[in-house]
Amino acid sequence: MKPVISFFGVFMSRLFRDKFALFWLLVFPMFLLGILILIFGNVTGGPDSFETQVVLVDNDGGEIAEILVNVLETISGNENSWLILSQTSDLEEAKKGLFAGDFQAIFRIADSFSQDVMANVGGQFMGQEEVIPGRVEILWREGVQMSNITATALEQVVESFAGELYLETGLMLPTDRVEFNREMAQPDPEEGTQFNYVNYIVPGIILMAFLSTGLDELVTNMTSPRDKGILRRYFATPLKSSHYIGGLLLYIMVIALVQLVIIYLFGTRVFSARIELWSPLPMFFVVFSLLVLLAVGLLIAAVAKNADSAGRLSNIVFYPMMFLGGLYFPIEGMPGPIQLISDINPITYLSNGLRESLGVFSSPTSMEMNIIVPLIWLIAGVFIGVKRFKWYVAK
Amino acid sequence: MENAILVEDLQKYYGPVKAVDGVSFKVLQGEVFTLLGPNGAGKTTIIEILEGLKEPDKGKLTVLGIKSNKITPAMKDRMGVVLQDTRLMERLTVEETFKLFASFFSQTLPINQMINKVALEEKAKARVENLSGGQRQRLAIGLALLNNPDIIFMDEPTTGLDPQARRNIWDLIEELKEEKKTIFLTTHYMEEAEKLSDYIYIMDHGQIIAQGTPAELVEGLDQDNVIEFSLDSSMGTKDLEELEEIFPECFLQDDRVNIYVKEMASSFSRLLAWAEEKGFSLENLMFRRPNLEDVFLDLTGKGLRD
Repeated sequence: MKPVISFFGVFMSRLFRDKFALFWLLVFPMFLLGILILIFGNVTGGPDSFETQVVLVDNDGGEIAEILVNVLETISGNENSWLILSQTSDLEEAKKGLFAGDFQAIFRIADSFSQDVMANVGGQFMGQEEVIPGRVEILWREGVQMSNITATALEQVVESFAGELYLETGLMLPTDRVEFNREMAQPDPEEGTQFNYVNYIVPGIILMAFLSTGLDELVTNMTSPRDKGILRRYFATPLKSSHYIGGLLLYIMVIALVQLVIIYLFGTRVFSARIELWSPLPMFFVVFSLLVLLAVGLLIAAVAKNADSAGRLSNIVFYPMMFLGGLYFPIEGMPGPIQLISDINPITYLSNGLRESLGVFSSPTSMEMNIIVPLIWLIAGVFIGVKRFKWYVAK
Repeated sequence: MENAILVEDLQKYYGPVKAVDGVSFKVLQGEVFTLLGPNGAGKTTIIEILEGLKEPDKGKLTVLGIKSNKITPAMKDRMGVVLQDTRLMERLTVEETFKLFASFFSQTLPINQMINKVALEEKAKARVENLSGGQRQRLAIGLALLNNPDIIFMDEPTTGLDPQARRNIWDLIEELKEEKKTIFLTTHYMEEAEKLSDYIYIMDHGQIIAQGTPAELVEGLDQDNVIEFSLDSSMGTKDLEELEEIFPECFLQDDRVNIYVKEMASSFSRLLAWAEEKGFSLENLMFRRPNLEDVFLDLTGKGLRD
């Protein structure tokens, strides 16, 4: 144990003597967090900056439907309206447009809407309890937050429709007599939450810090001292390689913890992020993520011939992992090869899992996948790493 | 006296190259044992095998009474090692480096004592990156002595050092000698081998070509004196051939003529006579005793420094 603690102390001492490394480790994540929030943080659903495209499909065309359509048109006709409305009678065409990203949601008034609403109101007068509601379908895209927000906004429109209906026709319409349902499986929205970028990004920054620091420190401290001959001198003593790795891992875990705390405090105190990090499932994902990324680091260290190529390999791996892992923004509907990278990237699943466990964003991938795919990377990394890593450079 | 190290038929290949080609020797406890030879002779390979940094392809090792075909951690606990090129973490201080290494062994001497022993008290808080070459080497030796080892390995300990630093290291080794430590040394510096060694094995091309105490090896030349002078530019091959007929033990090394003779006075007068007759001037004339460089030259026809 003594050598493990010694190495831990040595790595920490050396870190504190390297001002640049300290900056990168501690300050940079906060810096990045701040910048991203300032740039993208406007996407919170406030009326001023929010804008979305909706396609209206009126399969009914009746009087009551027209009122609803008027409501929508009035809203979209307002100056600086959040709603950009187009119309088509072809639902299939509208769906295509939805999935192509032309629209964020489809607002479909079902065939017998007007009739049903009339019957509904009439039935009310007659004291009937069981009446057929008029149907409105709000179709939105799973996994796309803008779509989610749009659907929520449209729901609110339908609710205000009831008031409008009364004004126009004198008909009282209890609001729950218009049924609207959402196509596509929908996870419960948080406290009426609008998409909050701060909550989305803080877990992402945590993973980025682990990726850039943890992985880098592991790769560098295994390959560089080996190449320089420093490890060689150690192994002329009774020191075992497991002692060295033990001290290194302890060091990395401590700095990861420090980064975690700093990012959490910065995100919650300065930017009012609401994330319940200190509970079992999120902490599991935090620890699990660190281990997976360290395993990837071990894999890189083992596969690369020397410290230089290990560094290059780290860079090549780092950027796709970071940008195509959903750390800063969701990765959806990308062209083939890029989507593939995202699909095999353990960070994609780890970030989805972390966010889901924090309740800030529903995971587009299942929780099982969120554990299985990174686990495969973990096992492969450790297995190959331990087998292939050369402690001695061939002279 | 017991053997500190016994090596039997050691072999190490790098592909088709026989770096160590069937070498056997023993090192007695308390002696300074030296492997002398030019670069590429196989000395470093052998010492690295004994330090546990490389594994032999064939052969048996017995170190401190333990027989094995490779070096174990238990053996390493009793050994001290000064590598040919000691690389350390540059941003640690001298003291921190000692503390780190101290944690590797089961028992160590007090760190302050070691720092004093290698005369680095003033540099105890200095970072490794700020040490001179000589100070680094003293640090390396200090680290090797930390666990009060039974055997100390030193691979080319003074290569690249200035004469003063080299002197300092030699003094340290002499001190260790007086403490009856077993020291295993490799070098290609003849004076170093001569000055420090109790016993020498001369190596070339992976094999041992001679062995003995420094005195025995020189005596083996069977010549008591050497006359040396610079080659005159007007001397041609024919002249040298003539010289060889008069003095059979006559060698050219760089631009120096070395003539080995048993008797100084008569040989010198014959040389003078020849030179006068031919009209050659004997520039930079020198008289000396034979040394290990001459032994090596005699054995291989080339110098230690070639």
